[in-house]
Amino acid sequence: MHAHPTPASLSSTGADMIEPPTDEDLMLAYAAGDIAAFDTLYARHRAPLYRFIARSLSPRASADECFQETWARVVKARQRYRPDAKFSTWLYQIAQRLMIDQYRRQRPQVSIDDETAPMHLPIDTDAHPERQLSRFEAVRQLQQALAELPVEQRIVVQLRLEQELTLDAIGEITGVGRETVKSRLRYAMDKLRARLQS
Amino acid sequence: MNHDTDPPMSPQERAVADALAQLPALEPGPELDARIQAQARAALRAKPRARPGSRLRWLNAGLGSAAVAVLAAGIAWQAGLFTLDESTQRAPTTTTSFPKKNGTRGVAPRNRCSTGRACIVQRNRHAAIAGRSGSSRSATCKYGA
Repeated sequence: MHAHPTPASLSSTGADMIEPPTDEDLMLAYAAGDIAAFDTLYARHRAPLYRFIARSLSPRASADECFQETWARVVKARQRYRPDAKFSTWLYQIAQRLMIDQYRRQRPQVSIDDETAPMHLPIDTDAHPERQLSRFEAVRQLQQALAELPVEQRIVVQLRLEQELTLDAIGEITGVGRETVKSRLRYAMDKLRARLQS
Repeated sequence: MNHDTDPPMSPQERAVADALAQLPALEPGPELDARIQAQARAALRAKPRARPGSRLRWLNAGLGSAAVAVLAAGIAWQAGLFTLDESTQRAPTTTTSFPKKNGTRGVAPRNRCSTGRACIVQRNRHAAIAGRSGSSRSATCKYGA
């Protein structure tokens, strides 16, 4: 474990800072009272974390609620935080548990709502309309196929293929062993392939 | 983390990863951002509260100590270790006598008084008073002897 910089050193934006502070440093600095450290940490993780949650929870209000609750727990647990594991692993652990709780409570039908619909894809104006349509259709099918996966498999697919985390990190987040992660990923890929080929 | 031992993505996994990257970008709205950051600021401003239950623990400790003290005092009282102050406990001026079988008066045994009844409850008090005054004959018992 390396020595963590003081909150003051994290808040400063001096040119003497060569390497950006790690997530763990930022979290410790926030716990010590540095709000700028929290802002940096939040800016780093807001978009990937929100994507992770919103792909599994629908409607958007549920995703918003789960996202806010995840950060609320980070804030609440700041004094107890110990950088034994990566901050991101801890963050996704919290989110993953909340997602599964909410999913089981509501049994939501993961739908392609307005904001995630393929028509919100950036339009390639040079592309042929038929090719554009085909692309929309491919995206729609992928979203539908993802939505049909069991939640545990969908989470593994997202963490591995979208967030590009290691199998061990996914195991830590989901609380299962590496072999289980591999197995879930394999089953999910088989289902996706079958669904997309049909 | 064990990056080195992770197998590389298969072509199929890579294709799905690329397709996922094409999905519409999702981000929290500005109101949600503002709510979360306000929450983080408010948490720092909030006065740190005593850990839940700490007040209750002090109360329990106080009550426990008081109960132990009362119990100890009760045991000591029963064992005769406490007596009334000697100035308020007037020693009898007359010697407690006990009739001997041959008609002469003798001294009462320590656990008997002049009434001739066994004075078991007061026995220890007899002993304690007798110990201070030097003689069990100056003791009184619950029968008033």
